[in-house]
Amino acid sequence: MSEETPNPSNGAPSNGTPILEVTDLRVAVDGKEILKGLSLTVNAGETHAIMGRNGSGKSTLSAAIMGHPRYEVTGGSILFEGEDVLAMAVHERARKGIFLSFQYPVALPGVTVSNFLRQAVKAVRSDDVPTKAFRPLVKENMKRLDIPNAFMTRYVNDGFSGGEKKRLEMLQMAMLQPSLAILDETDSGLDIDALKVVSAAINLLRDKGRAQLLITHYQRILRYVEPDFVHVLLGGQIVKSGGPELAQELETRGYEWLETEAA
Amino acid sequence: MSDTQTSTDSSLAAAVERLAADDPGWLADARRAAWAAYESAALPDRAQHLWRYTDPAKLLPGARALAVPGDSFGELPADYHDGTFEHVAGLAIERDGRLLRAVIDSTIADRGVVVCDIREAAREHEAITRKYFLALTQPEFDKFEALSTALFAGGTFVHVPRGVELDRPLRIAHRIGGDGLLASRSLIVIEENAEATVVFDLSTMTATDAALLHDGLEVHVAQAARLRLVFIQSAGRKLVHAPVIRCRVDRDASLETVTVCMGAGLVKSQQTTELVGKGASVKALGIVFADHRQHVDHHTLQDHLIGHNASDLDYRTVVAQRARSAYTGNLRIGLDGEGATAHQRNHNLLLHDTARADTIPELEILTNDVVCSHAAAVGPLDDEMMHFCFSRGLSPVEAKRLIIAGFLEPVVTRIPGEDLQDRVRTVLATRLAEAS
Repeated sequence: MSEETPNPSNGAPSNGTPILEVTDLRVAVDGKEILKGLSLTVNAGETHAIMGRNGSGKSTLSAAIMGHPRYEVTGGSILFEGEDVLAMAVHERARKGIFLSFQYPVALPGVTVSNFLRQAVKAVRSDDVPTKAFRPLVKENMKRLDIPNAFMTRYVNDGFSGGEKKRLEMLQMAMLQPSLAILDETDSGLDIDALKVVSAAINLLRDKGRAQLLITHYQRILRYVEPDFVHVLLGGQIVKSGGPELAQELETRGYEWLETEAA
Repeated sequence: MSDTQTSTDSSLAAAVERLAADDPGWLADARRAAWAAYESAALPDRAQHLWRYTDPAKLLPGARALAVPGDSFGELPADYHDGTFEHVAGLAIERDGRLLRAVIDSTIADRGVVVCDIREAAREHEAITRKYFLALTQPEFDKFEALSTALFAGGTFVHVPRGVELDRPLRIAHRIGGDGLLASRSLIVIEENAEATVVFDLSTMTATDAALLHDGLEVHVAQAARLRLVFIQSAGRKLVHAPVIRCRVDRDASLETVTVCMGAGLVKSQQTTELVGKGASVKALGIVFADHRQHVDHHTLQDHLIGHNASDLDYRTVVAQRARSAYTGNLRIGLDGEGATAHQRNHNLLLHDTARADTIPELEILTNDVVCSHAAAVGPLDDEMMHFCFSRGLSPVEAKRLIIAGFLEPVVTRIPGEDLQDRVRTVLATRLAEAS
């Protein structure tokens, strides 16, 4: 449907405008500032990993980009393909092509997976997925992500295990084909099989027109999805950026040395 | 009738005599006794739990004269049109509280299943009617049950004999017209080890019909029998509806009620269920959807007279605009109720600041060794659920509709038949679209 080429060369934007441009972002939750002037540029075709300890502000970044009402942006800007994200309602952000895989996806009791996916696809991709194409597309993606048919008639995330929730997040992502996919600790707590499914879903999206932002605590997922850039978030700011080798370094050295460096 | 000076009560007294003249003696006596009880009973005390939220004076006949039941019906909803018994065991139509016609599958009729008007049953099936009619209503006749008993023009009688299992529902479509006083009494008897599903589908002839309907139903589910009882009410917003439903569930029997209350301007509903045997199982599900200035008041009682049985109640309420809902739920476990399990839930969604819902659980547990729970909640739509939907591209209006439909869906799926489920979903979706 869109670009065919998987795994394009690193960091080659399809045009000059970055997919995501975060500048000096400040975000507060319940009056407490969590992000303290974060800047980040993600170009088309790139996969970035944001790493950091609990409480460093990783999830705050994803929540602010998606527009969760509890997260108040007090300064700075977020541009998506050159447009002001902060001026958009949450559903408009989704319709433009931003997707967030939630760390803790909520349940929608009484809403079947099938109905939910249909409505989401209708909202986000009504132009390129005609009603008739929906069912084959779901089937294809379910097969790819090793999701049983019984999922379709279950209620969204209702009584789902942690792994099932993450698989369903990946199915939504595969159905919505976002230009920017943000994965907020999607890898946490997954067994190796589920981790492979999640990784496969991300890799399927990697092409020169899209970008992914992996927010993670652990280096484990980066063995399956190799990032182009790795950033370390500490105290609400990015304190170090590098290539995939930085993730390796964090694995062996931990975060303490960065704290010392930053201090 | 020519005397316009006659007070309403004396014209009603005359109506009792007129109706009694066509009834067998035992029923005529019951009417007269009920009329005497009505006249002597005081209005219920509003300090009582049961009447705290609705003024009982609004259920009095007032200026309304007793209406003569109509005999036209209009078009049946599309989901009735079939002409076969493939999806229904029988079909009855009721107008203004009187059963006009009933047709049942001949193979079922051959097994002794009866569906007819209650007054016909009192003549044609006297032994069974006499045994059960008013058995659950007396002696605690409240004022309005006395009124419906004194003045009922008819009602539905359903009798499923011992061991007969109906694999398709009996459907009763009931239409109300005009703006008079209407009274109706129905009786359902499911004998030992029999099984049935009965669907009552109440609506008005037009959106502006402003009748007052006092509507009594008694339900007997005998030992090891199984009954699913469905009430779908989609009347116009002028109707005043006061149903009183009394159920008795015997040993090892099961009763599931599904109440879908969408219409009428004022609803005061009481539903009581006695569990009188071990192994009995009672499930009560409800949907209440109210908007504009609707006032909807539901009261339930799950009364465990004996233990080692189970009741489970789940009412889901959506209130929009200036509508008001009240739910009072009583769970009673008697001295012999050891080993009873009883759960009660009432969740209310408020769509606007001007909407109001009250929910009052009341537990009376007189014995130890029981398992009970109750949960009540009133609130707006969940922000996290809304945000999740927004993040998948749904607009606020789309998200709201999806979440509310989901909230009601577990009850909708307990309505028998896809067509009927879809009709309820469509009505709810349309009302939601109007209210949001």
